[in-house]
Amino acid sequence: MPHAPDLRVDATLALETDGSFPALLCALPLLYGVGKLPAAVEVVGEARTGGLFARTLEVATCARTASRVEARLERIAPGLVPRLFRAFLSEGETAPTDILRLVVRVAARGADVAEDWRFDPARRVAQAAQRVSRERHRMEAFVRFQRHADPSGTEHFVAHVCPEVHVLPILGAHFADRYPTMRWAVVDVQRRLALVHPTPALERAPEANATQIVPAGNVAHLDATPDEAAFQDLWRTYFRAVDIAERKNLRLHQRHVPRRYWPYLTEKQVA
Amino acid sequence: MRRQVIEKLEILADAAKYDASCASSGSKRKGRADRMGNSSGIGICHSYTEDGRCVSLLKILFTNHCIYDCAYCVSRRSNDVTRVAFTVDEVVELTIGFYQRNYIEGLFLSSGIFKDADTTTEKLVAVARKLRQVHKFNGYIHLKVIPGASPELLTEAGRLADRLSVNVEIPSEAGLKSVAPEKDYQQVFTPMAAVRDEIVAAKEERRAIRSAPVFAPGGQSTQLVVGATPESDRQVLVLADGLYREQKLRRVYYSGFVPLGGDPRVPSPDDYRAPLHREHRLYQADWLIRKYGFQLDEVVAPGQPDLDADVDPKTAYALRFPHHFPVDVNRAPVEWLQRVPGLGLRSARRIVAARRHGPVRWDDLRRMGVVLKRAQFFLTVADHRPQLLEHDPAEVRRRIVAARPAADAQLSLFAPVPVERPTPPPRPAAAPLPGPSRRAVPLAPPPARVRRAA
Repeated sequence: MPHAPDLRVDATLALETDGSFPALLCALPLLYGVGKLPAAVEVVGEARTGGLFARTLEVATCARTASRVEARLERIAPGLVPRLFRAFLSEGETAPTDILRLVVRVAARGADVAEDWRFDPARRVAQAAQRVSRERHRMEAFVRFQRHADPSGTEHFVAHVCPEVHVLPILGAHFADRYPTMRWAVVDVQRRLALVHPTPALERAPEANATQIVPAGNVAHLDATPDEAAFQDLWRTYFRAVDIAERKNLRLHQRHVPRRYWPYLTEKQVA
Repeated sequence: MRRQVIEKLEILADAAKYDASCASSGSKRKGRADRMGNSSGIGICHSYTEDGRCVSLLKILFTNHCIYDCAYCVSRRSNDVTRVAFTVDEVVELTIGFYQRNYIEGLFLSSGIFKDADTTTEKLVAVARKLRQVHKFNGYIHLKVIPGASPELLTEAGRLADRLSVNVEIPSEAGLKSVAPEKDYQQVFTPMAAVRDEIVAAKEERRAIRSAPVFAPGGQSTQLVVGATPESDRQVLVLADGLYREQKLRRVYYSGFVPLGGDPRVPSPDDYRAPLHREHRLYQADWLIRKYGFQLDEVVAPGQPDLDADVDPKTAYALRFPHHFPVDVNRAPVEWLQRVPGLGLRSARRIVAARRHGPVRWDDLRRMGVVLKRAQFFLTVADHRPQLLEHDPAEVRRRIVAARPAADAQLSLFAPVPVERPTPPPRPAAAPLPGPSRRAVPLAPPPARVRRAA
């Protein structure tokens, strides 16, 4: 829809939302209504970012408005919304305002603007999305499931992780595709949330979601199966055996596997 | 039984670790509701060894019994090591148990040759068959092709596996014969060509009939050991270039020879260190040829035996052809941006996307992730017009070499920091073994950003 008006940032304007991504999309019609972009996005019930704003727009999140805005954006700039969502998951301070500024600029000048790194919001959104993608890729690699069994003998695979950004919402597709026959859960210990895949694909109702995000407390504490410790030992044995002492390079090792992941990696635990 | 498996795993993983191939990429397997596993095509490194190599697959030998006596190989017949062999079920159980826990992307199964090629290949195929058919395993499988195996077995292996490989190992036939007298190039290239032909045929068939069976959809790879025998970098790269062209290989891996001692036909650990720095430069050169559109002769000129040890091959190219530079960031085609030292494929793309909207300036380059320390001499923007290259290329070289901070270790996906440079191997008919060098090598700058192995 070339060409919507290009809005300017008003340093005295703030938004107040419920902190969700759809809320940002719902804010757009309001912003075009007032003809300005906000200098900050605040979340209801959370500490203020510190600025003193003459005016605060309250955004009511509405699923229908959000999907209408999303569909429209998809027409203008195919593939941009997933990038915006990943940037949002970075939990970066400027992410919400950058997302709004980028969307308005794209609507005014076309999809190409999102690739123009000379425009700071475009660059910061791309970099934040990249950071989130990298962390997702690391989680796809570093998740270590443990096999547990409930009293009825049903097996559950459970992993604990501590990702730098909020990746659970974009991690489900990969693990659901890879482990459709298993019951599994990935627990984010810092955000106290869990990505769960409670039912094997063949037993699931066709319309049901494969995975959902639930409070971490919903994941039951179960006992490991008898072979769990043995497999962990085998894995540590393997990890030690493939090392080539003559080539040792711990700096390179740590660059690939930063220390903050070690507490959750089987091969880094002493049996 | 478990105790035994741990011991076997220790021995057979240790014996397999000198194979540099780790890729789990190049093959797309979509998950299926009744199976375990998928493969995204880009590969996942689940961990890294303390030497910084990726751990993606359960990489093991089926057995380290071997009828051959190759001097560079730890499992050679004459070497005094404990010999063991897995059973098919043990390998299957390990693979499934590791995969379920998300430790690995799949299995890379190689083997010493016990008895003959077919007996050995039958075991490897039996493992893959059981994984796929009994356990509904849909993850990645890489099988080693044993030269001399029957065509029927090879076909079945290709149907079950994502990738097949035959290792060339020694980069010249004369070199191979000097360290492995029972082997020759024909033994290697015959099965390699057979696999290539099957891959091509299967692809064509699938174009016509979508349901036709796949054959090694992840392609074929090989490994060249550098430093065990005296080939030059140019010899190694000429061979690799030919393998990419003629055998249509997906990847050639370079493995710096790690001397283990005990065989006088190859360098000994007493006076030879693994040539990691050389290995790293070879990977950089390989990347320029495969991804950056360089010709072999541009990377390593005829008559020039070895790559420049002090600067990366792209910088070396720019210094050899200074009249092609500096490149105008706002006008040059993307192919030329990629040729600028310090500019990667990604930053070149970013520049092209940004300059559509207006001129790119010096500060923009910094934000786009260009390595300006090197690039500054080879590119121009409105507010930066370097002259030094035109007047004094030697000084540019001095500055680039001097700018490498000693503390900033060279970080590459492939090669660890070199501690010491082994003297280059002697030319044929020179001294029998490379001697040690006590000169510490300053650490090199990071390479043009190299992403995961393809």
